[in-house]
Amino acid sequence: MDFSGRRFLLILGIMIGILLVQSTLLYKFRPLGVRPDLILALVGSTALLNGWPQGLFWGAIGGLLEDLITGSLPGSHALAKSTTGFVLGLLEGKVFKENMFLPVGALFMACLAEGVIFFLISGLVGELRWGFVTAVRMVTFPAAVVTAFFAPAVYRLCEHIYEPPRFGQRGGSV
Amino acid sequence: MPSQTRNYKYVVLAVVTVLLTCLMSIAVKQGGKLDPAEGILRDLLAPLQKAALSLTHKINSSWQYWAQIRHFGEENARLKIEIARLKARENAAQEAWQENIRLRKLLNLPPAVQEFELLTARVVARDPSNWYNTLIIDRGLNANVEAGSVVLTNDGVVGRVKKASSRTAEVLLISDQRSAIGAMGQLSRDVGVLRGGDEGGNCRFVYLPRTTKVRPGEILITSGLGGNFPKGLVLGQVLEVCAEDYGLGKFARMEPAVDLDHLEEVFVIIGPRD
Repeated sequence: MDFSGRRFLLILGIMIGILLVQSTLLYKFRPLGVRPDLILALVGSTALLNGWPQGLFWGAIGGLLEDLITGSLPGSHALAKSTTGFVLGLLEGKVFKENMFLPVGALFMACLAEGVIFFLISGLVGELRWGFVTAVRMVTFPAAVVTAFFAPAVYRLCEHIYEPPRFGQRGGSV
Repeated sequence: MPSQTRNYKYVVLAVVTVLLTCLMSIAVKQGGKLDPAEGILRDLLAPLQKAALSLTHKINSSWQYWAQIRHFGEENARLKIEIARLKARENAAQEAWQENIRLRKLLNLPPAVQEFELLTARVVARDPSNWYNTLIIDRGLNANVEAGSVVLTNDGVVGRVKKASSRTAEVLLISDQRSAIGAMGQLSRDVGVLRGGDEGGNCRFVYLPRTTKVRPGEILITSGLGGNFPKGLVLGQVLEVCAEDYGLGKFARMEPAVDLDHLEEVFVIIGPRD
């Protein structure tokens, strides 16, 4: 488990940057009518590469930042993202990191799961009025597709942050 | 040992879950109030977001400019530089002119609004998530903008303030799935509730009787029922009228009168005119 200061600040900065850019410069960028959940892609990639503690931690931090900046119920995105980060982190070491298809598939499934968890949490506290099918059709599924499209780039970025490529040596922390 | 490690994982997950659930419970108990951390973070980010948004407009202008430039020949390079200078000046003047036109339009408000004290505000950011339709304006509690304040333009209703910090406020747009406004047909006078969250950024006018006289093309206005919105503000135009499931009643799809994706300035009602 690596929470070194430089990486911590770098990932925190990337998260704030993503939220800032998506709320201003790219607020009209909505392929399939939704925005890619780049925060979840970052949390998921970190979890897949470094295990559940980082998935849980960055899920909570990224989700809280999203809650604070978007004005959602504090804790709602955080709970959904930390749980998803935790579960993805359990796959660390089980996903062959050089094969890009598996992380992308895992992040697609994670995005669907996070959408469902967020729907349940927000629905319970009365923050969502959509039905389950409407929420999946209008947000969760298209968001998972769009996020999966951007997942390889985010995954490669995380690989670069955590483990610069070294020939003949398989990275990863156990 | 391995089982201890496995249990440790789930204990940590449980602790984080409990902590975040407690945070949510506190937030729910506080209702619409903005907690201090949220307010401070939003106030800190507002200038950055404002700068980023103004950069967006500049990038857009530059992009359009370069798209035009590509069609000219290389022999006109010097002239293009001269044109670029003039264009930059013209852009600045045009921006000021367009702002002038927008502000003049804003002042041309319907009679229903003229009895209220209005405040102009600039849009500084949008909700980056997919679940909600909100925007942040650069006026807050310091300017008497508070939760529940109605936000509009000369075209119609934009939404209402959900939360306010000292210098910013979060506006819940009428297209947000949490929005519900008492509405009525301007001609038919049929009363119902306008809900957001319909496809394509549209709204749904619900709880209409089967015998409703609402027709496509009719303008919907606020009914004044519920007390949040003054009566007679324009909401939008009916696109189609459909039967509810099981044929118990009808609903209408409405396109908002305001182009919610291209808002730059808005008005906030801060109280009755003295």
